[in-house]
Amino acid sequence: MKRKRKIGRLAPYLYLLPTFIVLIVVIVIPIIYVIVQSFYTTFANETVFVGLRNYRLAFEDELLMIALKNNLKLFLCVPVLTVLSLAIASLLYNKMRGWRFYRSVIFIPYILAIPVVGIVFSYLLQYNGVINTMLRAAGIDGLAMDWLGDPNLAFPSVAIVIMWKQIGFGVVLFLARMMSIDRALYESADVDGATWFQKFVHITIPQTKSIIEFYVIITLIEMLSWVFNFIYVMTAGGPGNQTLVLEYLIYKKAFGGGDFNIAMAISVVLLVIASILIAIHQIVMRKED
Amino acid sequence: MKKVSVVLVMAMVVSLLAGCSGGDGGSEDSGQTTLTVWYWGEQEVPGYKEYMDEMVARYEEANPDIKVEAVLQESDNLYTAFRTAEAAGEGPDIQYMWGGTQAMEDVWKGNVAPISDYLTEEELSVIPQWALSQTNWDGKQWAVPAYGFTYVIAYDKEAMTAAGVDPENPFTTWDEFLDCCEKLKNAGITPLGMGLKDGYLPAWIGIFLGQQNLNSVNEMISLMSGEESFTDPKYSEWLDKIVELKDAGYINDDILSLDLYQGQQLIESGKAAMTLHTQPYAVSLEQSMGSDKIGVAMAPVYGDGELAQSVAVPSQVYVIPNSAKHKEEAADFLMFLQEEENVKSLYEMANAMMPSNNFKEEWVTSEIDKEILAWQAEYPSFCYQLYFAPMFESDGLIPTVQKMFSEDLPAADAAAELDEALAKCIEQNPEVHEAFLEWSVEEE
Amino acid sequence: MKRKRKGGIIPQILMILLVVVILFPLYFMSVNSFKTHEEYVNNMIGLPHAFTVQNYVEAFEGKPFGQWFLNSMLLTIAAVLVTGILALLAGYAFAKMKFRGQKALFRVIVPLMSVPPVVMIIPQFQIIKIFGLVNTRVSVIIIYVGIMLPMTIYLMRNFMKTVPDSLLDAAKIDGCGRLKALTAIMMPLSIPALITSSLVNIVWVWNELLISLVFLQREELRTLMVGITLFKGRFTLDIPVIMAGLVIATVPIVVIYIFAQKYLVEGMLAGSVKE
Repeated sequence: MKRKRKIGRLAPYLYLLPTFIVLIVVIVIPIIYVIVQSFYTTFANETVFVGLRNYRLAFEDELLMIALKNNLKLFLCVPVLTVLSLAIASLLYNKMRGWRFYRSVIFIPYILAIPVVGIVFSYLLQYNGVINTMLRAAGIDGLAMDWLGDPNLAFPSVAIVIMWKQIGFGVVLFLARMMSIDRALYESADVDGATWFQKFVHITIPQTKSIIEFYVIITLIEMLSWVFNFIYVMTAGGPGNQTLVLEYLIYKKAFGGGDFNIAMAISVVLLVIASILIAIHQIVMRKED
Repeated sequence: MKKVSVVLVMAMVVSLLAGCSGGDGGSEDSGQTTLTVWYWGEQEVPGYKEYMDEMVARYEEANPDIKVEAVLQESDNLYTAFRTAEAAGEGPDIQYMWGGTQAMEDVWKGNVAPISDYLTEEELSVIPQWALSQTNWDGKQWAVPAYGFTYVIAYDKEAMTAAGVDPENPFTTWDEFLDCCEKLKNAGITPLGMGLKDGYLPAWIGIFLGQQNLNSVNEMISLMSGEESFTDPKYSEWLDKIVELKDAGYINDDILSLDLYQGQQLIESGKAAMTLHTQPYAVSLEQSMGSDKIGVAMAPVYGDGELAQSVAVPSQVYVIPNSAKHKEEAADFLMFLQEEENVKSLYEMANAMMPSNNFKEEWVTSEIDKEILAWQAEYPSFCYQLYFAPMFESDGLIPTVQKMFSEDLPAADAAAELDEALAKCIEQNPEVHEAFLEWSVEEE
Repeated sequence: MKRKRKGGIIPQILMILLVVVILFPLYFMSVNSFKTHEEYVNNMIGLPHAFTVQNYVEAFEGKPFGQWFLNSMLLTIAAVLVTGILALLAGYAFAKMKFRGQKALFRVIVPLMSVPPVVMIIPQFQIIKIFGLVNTRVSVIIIYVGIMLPMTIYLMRNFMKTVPDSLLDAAKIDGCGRLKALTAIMMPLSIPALITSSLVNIVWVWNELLISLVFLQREELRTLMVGITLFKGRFTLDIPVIMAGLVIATVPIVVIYIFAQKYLVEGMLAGSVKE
């Protein structure tokens, strides 16, 4: 009996053990390595401590600011995606004709491979690509832009492709949650003569709040840490660094012949931003508790 | 019941993992040595993969105790995979690299073992001195050529005829070139087809136009060391030339949305009359489309330097990484590629000429290759890109030239941006830059 | 169940527009994969006049699509399964057990989900080397699991929190051990969260490019995504062949989706009734 209790007290730690082993090996040790390396410089197998030199050089480099700005711009996609997904989900929730079909279709881009999406859109968006050919055929030449080549359009174009691919996840997620809301809530609102919008604001949103929160957080993280493939496949950061994001900048510096240790300093900057996001999230969570 | 299913799932996962790791085990058994080669080249030298497969087969037949594992890399991944693996001391035995600074950077960073430690001077003497000198530093040889090639302007002879330009001799000087472009344009043909999106193109343009006011390699080195400035017209006139071509509408309008190879292929699909190419690729076009369809020309001359009329004949190289486990065998394999029979196969299978004394000009049947050999005999050899300071291309040249097209950045501003970028590269990599200067001075 | 079908004409029009925007790239990809190159140049958008499968023959030629596909499958299944199991255990501990350091440990895990993979590649490679796992699938699977775990645990824990303690207490009274309570009660209840997180994970692993590119340096280990990037550089002239290659790479996952869809939606729905 006594022994059993001892095991019982240890049990939670046993449950967590495999997770922590994996996380320490795959993430924690690498992060420590990155932080340490950001204070050193390596040349011809000799490593020298240089203090904040790498950070100073990283911040003097305008590329870091360009990449930072672009990641912030991507954050603007998050509210757009959230509102759009919620709107579409609530349309479908009303069981409009063909809603099952719509739901299936909207989700398809989410499961497609990013290289596939990137390559197809490159052909669609080329200056002499499909979209412009169609626009010219329709006689609206004025709208035929260099979608990936124009410095003002390249980044918005990439952002739209990212949203095209990601929208389905939000819709399906929100729809699933909405369908489990108690019907009685809506019915009593109907009795009170509430409008569609009122029901949306007073019933749908509060009822789906926890899932919206989850969605916003993971989409923010996606926009900060998981957009590398899109840039890699579609623009390689160009034209003229217009579509550079932090991840791609780190990749370029670390592997493209730049100073590896400066890349590590930029990585730390990215980690700090991510931590700030998470901290905000946790503060919000705690307030609710 | 639930318990059973959990156990089942667990068992499946475990067996799956075990199965994977079992299947992946190295083939280092039975006393066999496995030689790993990471290479590239199919993009600019069509047929190179086939050639490599053939070399591996031949080498394994001659050396039954050695197994060669040649892995073809993607352009974007060539350096990523190597630098990651090398950082962990797990690099391949032989690594392919782009010539010039792009190979030397890894030498300076300590990623490469000197090849001359494993080969005698006599063995190396099969490679001509000019090719060796491109990767000689600190009294040691660090790489041997994988293949050599010449940069050419490839053009569509039929388009030239249609525009009223002599298809055998379309231009020599810059004015003739502009004239040729104007005629093509008036005939409704896009004169130049190029792609700027993936960023390889700016260095290519530099190779054709950048060196034309220079008298010697020294001047290039002074530029890259920061002593001279891009704002000096001597060094920036080529940027004006780019603007001139762009403003006159001689370049395809979708240059910003195409990759290098897509731009080059406009000539194949009949959408442009000229493009910048490598000799092996031009020859493959000659073979597929006919020598009365495809011709090659040297860069049009505008400058007044000694190097105004020069040919760029760089070679891509193989190095032996520091962490290679079989350095002796690696060196042996690289020398095997230099044997006459194999040099001949390289030429026959991939149209690429090995910088090697075993290469025989009598093998050459292609009209294009004959012409190129004649240029090489007549004009000095110089390749602008070989002397780029580390990072200058990725952080300076590529975005700047892209901006010249996407934002209509004037040439003077572009020159100032290049200066700035170069200063930044030097500041960020002082040690590498010092080594670069040592190497380039030695080499010249 | 009488519910009036709402939706006037405007929502329908909006939805149809949306469907067109979503399907057009796929339409473009599939339709052009059946055209000759000559036809593509003149007719980028219409249906093929002369239907050809030659592009598929060429796209397949010399490329082990089957092998690539299998490799991707193997990595995805293994990594997602292991992640699911570990996250179930950890989520349960965080949500339903009490122990010292619980909050602190959870607070340490959550931020890890935002670490971008590109930052960690070089140190990860060095660690993999220490374990002697260079060039193995296991190495990549471990890394994938590590990257996916924080987000999955976060979702699991938050979901399990919503399961009433009374259900578990009842099980304990019946004499179930903790592990039993987890497998018999918690797991079935957690299916929606498991399905949702696995979905995110499957899509992520399936799409992952950088890690597999760098860590799997052997032809026979290459994944489908790495294979597809071949189409980026090489056959750029013959767009129909590229499109055929992309279709080959896409069809299996879409077919799986069509079959799994029912379970996916039901799974996400089931159990989320409470709260």
